Amino acid sequence: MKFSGELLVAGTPREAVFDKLKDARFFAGCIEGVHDLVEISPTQYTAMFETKIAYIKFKFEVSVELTKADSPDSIAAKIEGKPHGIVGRLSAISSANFVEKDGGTAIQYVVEANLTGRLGSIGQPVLKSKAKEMEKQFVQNLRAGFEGKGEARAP
Amino acid sequence: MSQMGRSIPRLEARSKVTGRAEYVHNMRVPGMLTAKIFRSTVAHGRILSIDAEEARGMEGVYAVVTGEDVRKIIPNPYFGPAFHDQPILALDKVRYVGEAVAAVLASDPHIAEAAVQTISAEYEELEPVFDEVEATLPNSPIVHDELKPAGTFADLKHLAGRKNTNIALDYQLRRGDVDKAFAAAVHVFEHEFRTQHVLHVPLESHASLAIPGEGTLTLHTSSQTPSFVRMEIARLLGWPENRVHVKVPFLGGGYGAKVYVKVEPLAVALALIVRRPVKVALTMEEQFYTITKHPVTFRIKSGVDKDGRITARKCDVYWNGGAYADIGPRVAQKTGFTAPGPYDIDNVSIDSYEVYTNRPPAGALRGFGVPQLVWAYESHTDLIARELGLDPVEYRRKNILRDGRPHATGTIMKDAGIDAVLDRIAERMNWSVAIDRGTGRIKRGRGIGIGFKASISPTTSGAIVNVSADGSVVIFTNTIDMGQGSDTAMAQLAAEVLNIDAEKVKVVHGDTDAAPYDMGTLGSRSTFHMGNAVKLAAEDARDKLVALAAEVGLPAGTNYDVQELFRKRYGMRAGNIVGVGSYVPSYTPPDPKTGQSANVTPFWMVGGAGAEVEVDTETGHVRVTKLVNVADGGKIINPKIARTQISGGAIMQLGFTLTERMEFDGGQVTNASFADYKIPGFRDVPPMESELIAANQENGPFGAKGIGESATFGVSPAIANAIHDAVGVRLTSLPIKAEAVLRALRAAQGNPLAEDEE
Repeated sequence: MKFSGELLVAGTPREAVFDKLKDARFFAGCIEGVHDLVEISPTQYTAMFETKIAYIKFKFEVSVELTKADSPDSIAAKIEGKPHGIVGRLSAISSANFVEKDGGTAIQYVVEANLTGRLGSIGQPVLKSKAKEMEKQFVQNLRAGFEGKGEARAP
Repeated sequence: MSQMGRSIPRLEARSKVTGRAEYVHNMRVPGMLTAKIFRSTVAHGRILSIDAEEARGMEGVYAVVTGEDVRKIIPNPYFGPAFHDQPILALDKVRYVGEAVAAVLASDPHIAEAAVQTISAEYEELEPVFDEVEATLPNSPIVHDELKPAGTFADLKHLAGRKNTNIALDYQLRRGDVDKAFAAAVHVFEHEFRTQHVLHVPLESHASLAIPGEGTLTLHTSSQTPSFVRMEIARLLGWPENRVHVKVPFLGGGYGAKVYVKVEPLAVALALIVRRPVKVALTMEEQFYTITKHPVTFRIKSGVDKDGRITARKCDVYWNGGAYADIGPRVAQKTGFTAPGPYDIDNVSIDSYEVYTNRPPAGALRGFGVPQLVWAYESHTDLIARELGLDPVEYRRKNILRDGRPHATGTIMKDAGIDAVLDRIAERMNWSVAIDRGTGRIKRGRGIGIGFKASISPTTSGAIVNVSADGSVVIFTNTIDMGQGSDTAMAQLAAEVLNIDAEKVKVVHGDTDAAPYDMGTLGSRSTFHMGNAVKLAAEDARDKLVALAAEVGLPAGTNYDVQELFRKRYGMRAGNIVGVGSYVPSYTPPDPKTGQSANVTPFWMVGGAGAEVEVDTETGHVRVTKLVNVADGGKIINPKIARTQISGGAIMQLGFTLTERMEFDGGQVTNASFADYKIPGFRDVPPMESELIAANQENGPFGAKGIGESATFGVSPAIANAIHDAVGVRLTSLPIKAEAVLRALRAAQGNPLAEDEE
């Protein structure tokens, strides 16, 4: 599964956008269902991620590794998740480039996620739409976080 | 009354419709444990650890077994018909998502399944490779450190110990001078075609039940090849073959999914580890991780002279064999040599590569690779005819390979009704009359495709025909009836020799303690090979009956009652006559450098299709409005059953043509269920005609030969050719879904659809 898109943060310089996104608490707060964020090191985090797909609740143990942080150009992270109670594995590589645009900053993001095991083999069509829904929600939360219209929920 | 050509109902029909026919899935024995499998979640990686503590502690779990546990009782636990490369449970490395890593044993399958979900494994991930062409490039990740040919096949021995390559087999054929012929050609055409990853999906998944005894082992298994299962299990265990008893009841379909060994080694290893009967029965989802059909990339190039004759053809074929070789190297070779198609071409060059990748293993599927090749060469042939402005049927007639002419291997064609099949398709399609081209958004077109296949050679079949003192007859054979009607065909052949009614013959199939060796029920070989063996065994029994008649003093040529013979000989109703038959055809191995052989196959299978389609130019939707399937099956033993093989083969290929595709994401199959993987249903079957031409296979039993695969050959290119005829666009990859057609239409209009990133 691959998702990409662009989000414009008006009136905010690249450095500010970069710093905010590098803040794991802010970032995680933009993803629905993430809680218990633990900082292992400045580039490594663990968290729990809970979501409901087609009436079934899933719980993942997630680890995040910040693999690249070139202020203010780009940021990249590797995410691994293990579902509870079912054989499977979620792995994702996510990256964002920050480009100056109309006095603000355009966040160009790409997420490539793979889900293997039982969930991946028969649940993928459902998961794809779920992931798209999460992407939409994430962008909304991010926008809200930057615009200060609504503070991103603290994880 | 002659038993040949009689459309008697299948011998087992009643037991199947009344639910009495036996299948391994339904078998239970006292003390039996069921195994459920924990599978890899990475496509390529080193196993660092397996954590099964929670599973082991669960109530009702009898044991959890890993590859290392298997290694303790089977020191070299690698199996495979061509290469000994596949571990019973993953050892050291995993090579595809879905590979078996550990097994949980419990009396209750639901407990075993729940316990599997608690197991986890750590892997050091390695770069995977999924594409068959990329895997042959320098710097590609390497799937196997070293090639390990099984030694069963003499022509694979040279590959032993080869390192740093994903090419499991590089087959080549050279005939004439291709370079010179291309230089002299008036026209040169070059195309690349691809096929997708699909699989067999027999409605009965793989199942094996292993029952350990005292230094012996009984294995009930859903196998197309009981004799090979016995050999391979005996080899793995280091036991004599007579201590392994393999029994096969009916199969709920096979199509090549159940050839050689699949889940048998695991069932055996688990049963021997826990010293209890163990059943391994796969789910439909697990079939997607077990055995599949090769995706293929085929680059084909032809040189044509001013009269439209093909003077040169170069074929480069890449077979995506997945993580384990299975029978793939045989596919690359035995099918590879038919890559130039059923055409009379003096200068031919073939390179056919069996390639390891990090996908589920690919093996034999109804046609042994031939449908992938026909897809390419018949699409290519159609494009040439179009380019030259010639009628596709006439163009084929001009170039077709006729009896008496040499094939690319040098073998002289015999009893191959290629021209007759082509003629019958053209007649049934009413080819000389133009069709209605359609109006508005619906456009109509038609196309044909023909193909051929050699038999896997040389292979052996043995049979026993037993005549009891009451005159009743039992055939013992290791040919497995998996729905194709082989029991009925064998009964008809024996009955023909013994001059009795086929309905009265009993067939005991799939029992290695009772029936002689047979190479396997595969590659449309049984009617020919086992048919000849059964015929010989029946003739042997008949000769012994004649001798018995002489012995009891009846003058030669007397009509006698069989019961009377036995009574006269033994003084009461006692004794029996045992006729034995064994058949192996003659064969000349091909030269390893040039692929030339004077006798490369005992017989040829020929099949073709004609299709009429309607294409909706607004949606790309294709509707097949007529599908004609014609094959050469020699003399037909049972016309009704034979026709179901033709229609069944065509419908199966229709699914591979229009709807079926295993979708992958990071090595994971993402549509491993019938909800998302679409096989044809009854409502998808187009108006269809199936015909077997009047023919005779001189060395076949009463003129018969195999027909199980022939109807798969022509379907895909016939449909692609018909679409081209209808709307002028060419599809070069399977499957032909509406989206692909629409994309091609929009691209042709200079208004392409946006690429979907997924």
